[in-house]
Amino acid sequence: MAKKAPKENKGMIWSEFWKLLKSMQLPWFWMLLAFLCNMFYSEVNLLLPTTTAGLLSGSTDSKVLWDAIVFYILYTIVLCADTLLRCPAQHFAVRNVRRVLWKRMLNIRMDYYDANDPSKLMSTVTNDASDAVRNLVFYIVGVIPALYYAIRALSTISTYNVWLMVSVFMLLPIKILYMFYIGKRRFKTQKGLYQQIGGLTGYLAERVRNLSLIKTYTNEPQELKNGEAAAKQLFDANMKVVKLECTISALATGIGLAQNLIVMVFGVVLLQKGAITLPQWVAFFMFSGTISNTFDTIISYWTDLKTIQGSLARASHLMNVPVETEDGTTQLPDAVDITFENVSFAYGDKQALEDVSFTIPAGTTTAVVGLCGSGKTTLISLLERFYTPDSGCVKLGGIPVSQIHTDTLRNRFGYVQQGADIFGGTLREALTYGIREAVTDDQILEAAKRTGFDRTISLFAEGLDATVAPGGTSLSGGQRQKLVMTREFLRDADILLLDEPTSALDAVASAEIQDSIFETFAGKTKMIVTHDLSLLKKADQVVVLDGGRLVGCGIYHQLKETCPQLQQLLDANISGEERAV
Amino acid sequence: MIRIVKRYTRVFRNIRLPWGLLLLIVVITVIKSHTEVESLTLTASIIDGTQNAIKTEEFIRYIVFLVLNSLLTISSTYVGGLFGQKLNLAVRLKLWNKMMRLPTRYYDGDNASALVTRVTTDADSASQYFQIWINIITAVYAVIVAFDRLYKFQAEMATAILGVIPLVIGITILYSTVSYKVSANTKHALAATMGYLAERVRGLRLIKSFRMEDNENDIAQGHFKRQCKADILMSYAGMINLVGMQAVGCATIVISFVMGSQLLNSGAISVGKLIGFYTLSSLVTIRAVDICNNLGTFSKNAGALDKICDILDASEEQDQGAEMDVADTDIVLENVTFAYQQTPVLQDISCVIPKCKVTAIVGTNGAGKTTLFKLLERMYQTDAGQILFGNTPIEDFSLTSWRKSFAIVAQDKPLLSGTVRENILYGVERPVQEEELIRVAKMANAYDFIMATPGGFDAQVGPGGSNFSGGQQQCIAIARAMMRNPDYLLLDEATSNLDAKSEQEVTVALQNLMKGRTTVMIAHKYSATVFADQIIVMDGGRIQAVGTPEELTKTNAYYRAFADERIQEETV
Repeated sequence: MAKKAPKENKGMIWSEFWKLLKSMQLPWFWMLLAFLCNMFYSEVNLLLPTTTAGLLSGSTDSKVLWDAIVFYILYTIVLCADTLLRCPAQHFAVRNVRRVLWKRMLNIRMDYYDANDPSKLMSTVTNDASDAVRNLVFYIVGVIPALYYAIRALSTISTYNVWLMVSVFMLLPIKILYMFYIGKRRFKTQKGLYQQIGGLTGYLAERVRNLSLIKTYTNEPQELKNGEAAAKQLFDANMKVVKLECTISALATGIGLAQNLIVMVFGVVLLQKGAITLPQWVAFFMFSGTISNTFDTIISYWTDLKTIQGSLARASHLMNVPVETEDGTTQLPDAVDITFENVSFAYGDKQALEDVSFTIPAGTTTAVVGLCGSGKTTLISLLERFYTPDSGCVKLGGIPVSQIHTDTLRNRFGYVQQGADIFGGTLREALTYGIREAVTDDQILEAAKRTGFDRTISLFAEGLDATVAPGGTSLSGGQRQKLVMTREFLRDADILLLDEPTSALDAVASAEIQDSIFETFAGKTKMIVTHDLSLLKKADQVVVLDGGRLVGCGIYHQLKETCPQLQQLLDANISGEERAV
Repeated sequence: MIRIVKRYTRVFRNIRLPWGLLLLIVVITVIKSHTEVESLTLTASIIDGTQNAIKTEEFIRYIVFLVLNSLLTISSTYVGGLFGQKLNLAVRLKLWNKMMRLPTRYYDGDNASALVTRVTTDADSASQYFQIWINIITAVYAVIVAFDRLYKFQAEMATAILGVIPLVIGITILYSTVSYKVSANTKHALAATMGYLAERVRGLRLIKSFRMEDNENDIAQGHFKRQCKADILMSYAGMINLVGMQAVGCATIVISFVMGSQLLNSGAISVGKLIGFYTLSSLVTIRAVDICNNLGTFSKNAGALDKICDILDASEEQDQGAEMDVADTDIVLENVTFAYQQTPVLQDISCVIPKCKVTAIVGTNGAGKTTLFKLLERMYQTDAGQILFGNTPIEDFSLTSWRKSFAIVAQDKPLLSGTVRENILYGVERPVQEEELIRVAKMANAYDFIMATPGGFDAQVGPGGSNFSGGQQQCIAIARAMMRNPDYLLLDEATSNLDAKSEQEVTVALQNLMKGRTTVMIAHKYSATVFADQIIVMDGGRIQAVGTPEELTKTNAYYRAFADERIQEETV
């Protein structure tokens, strides 16, 4: 592809990581609040064992008792407040990162999307980033308090007896090994699971879309078997997760057991020697549990960081993709010629256009013909500045399009795409998409009359308020084309770029719309990509493309005699009909 | 609640449950709740004893119990996982099977991605049902066992602790009600965001071309904001549980301390017993939280369950009826009327589709041509009037054998991802020799380009067939239809959307396909209609005229206009 995606570097460089963090607009205020609360929580948590120990050692002083009760209530409040504050911090962070990423996706240059399916990139916005950021906030807020807690708790224990501290550390190396091992295994199983979920979803999505094909071919039994195979694979992946859980549980109990034993042996021996008191022993026993948990948390912070980095790598990559530039002149004369000067362009190593030159004089109509893949649509993409030519220059009114501000440039064009893109909503919304001024219903109906779309509108009881399914799927191909043509009539742009505007329409409707186009946009510059050869004689100029090369440019009647490729196209059209006869 | 249980019963009806595994899980968890209590009691006893001497014997017993505990945990994880996943698989397949047998009408309103979720995520939620009940019941049992022990430790304190039960019940009810409502809200917000993004991401070119980036950004912000709000609410709903149970724990501790210190003072209990009491009562709290969580999940899953039941309750296509072993005959439409939801599409259509002849249907967009095909294929049923096969209503034939005698080649030529071979042999049940495959591919004008592709018949067609050009995809689709050897052929603008050269190739393939079959074609071009034996002109859901091309050129204005297009082309 033209702009190859830079290789995803696995361990993202730290500077890039920070850059991303900065651009993510994390909710620092909420995070600070959550952090402070978390610190306070650690502080309170430190008092827990000593307070409990004091109580449990048999002290019956009512002051000790009431202190303990007040402490427990305080502890409960702080714990709740901690969660209460951390949660908005996390969700706000997710919202912000989604905003930033989506904005970026809107501004990324089109050529990037050729190499990277935007539908797949979407999961970066929805899942990857949100999971990663949620963890990240948790991390930023939690890591310092956790470390603080561990250090303070250890120093408290060491004041009882240094050996107690040693006992807590004894299993630490094994724990670290364990966490890394589990982290790796978990990553692998999860990846396998996601793959199988993706596999089943992909299978089902395709089949559900083509359900009528399954029905026509009465292939339900076979599809049930296929579905069973896909579901069975997911089952296997799920069972792998279950087995891993079992391993984790076994290892964790083993380590916990060893930990308990060590602590008990050390404690009991020291207690018998009289080196520590009973309250100290109780406090130590409780501390050893919480410190061990804190160690787990700290180690998991470390392993999480790796996963966060991995997920954010995609997001960070997205942030580094070139975006469309917003500079250039906003001054453009009223009537402009369109000029292609020796334009060459390739999608990756697939040459799409080679040394194409021609001019569309202001106010005239040019029809572009050629077989599929001859580069017709690419011409429009270059004109709209979705791509930059590899060599040569595309000019509008003598100014290279790369030097015209994107707003000015694109607002000049009316563009009807192949496939007629429509977004869901009401008919009114679909018809007025991209129009910034207020449009009255009368204006809409007026425009709809010219394309015959008014008949479609009248089919709906709700009229213009009728709902259109996402992607316009509730309308037929022909209705969609009529809708987007109506939209162009309303937009009334200076230059019209029409990419097979009537391909899904029958001959009569297509002739109607063509007449409307020439009538309504009589004095305007038009560039029409078409397979419909009946349109050629209405055009002022015909451009014939063959395999990315310009093989003919001129008036239809002349070209018909001189351009062999055009003759071939015409022959194919007529012979197809004759064969039919 | 009872309604939810009933719906669950509906989901698991006819599914063979692994009862053995279920029993095993119950046994394991029951044993586990006893061993847990035992090991905690032992801890207390050890702590108590350390003041005097270490009892090695108690130590060893303690370790044995810990090991036993962990073994039980591991086995319950495994058996529970196996059980859950087996149910999962069964529910998925039941749903997918049902989904394929639903009439096409069911899919009109719903969109594909939502239905896929039923089989993936929603099936997961539904099959948690048994696990949830097992969890609840065993947690209740564990609470009872632990409490029994508490009572033996110190009867008065244990009774006092019972006072928190109303608190636990209150919190549980509040939590499950709120979380049901809030989770529905969250799912709704998530679906809205995903739907929005999925659509816009496909239409990026349009957004850019119309310079709507800023507007779309604003709309997206709105979605993100709503979702964020819903997520926060969701977390806060979860906090009812957390805060409530924390409060319960706090109350338990206060009770045991206040009473405990008094009893300790009077020498009624030892320090070790107090510690044991304290840890045991926190075990009770943990189990109570479990119950609360599980009930929450239970009501949270109700939404997914409703959707699954909607599918399971929808009526299937019926496949009873006679085999299609009768000789080919005319298909007769009598006063057929049909509406999509509320929009009338076909009104009072009567015509005959003569056997072994070519019938072409022409008409404006939205005239109801494609709908007519769907009725012929019995994807939909007529609202009024009937379609006859000779003299027999088509509903009298079994659906499978009816559809087997039809093949459709449509404009959108859906190929399924897989190899070329798989696509051509799609739906063919008999074994097919390589020679036959090659012969069919040649007749469909597809052999040459298939052989030119690396991999030949085993080349991947790519998602939606994208490794091949439009014309090539259509030729593969024609080969697929030929392989089926249908008596009736439906062509839905099979050559539109193709450039002139591809159209020529496809036309050759189609003519091979049409030989000796009854053909109904929707034509978008005059050239395709001239060799038809009969032409039906449709307009606004009604038949405007029926006749031969020659007749209609004289009598029908629309058809004349249709023909004019060709005349124009020829004169240029």
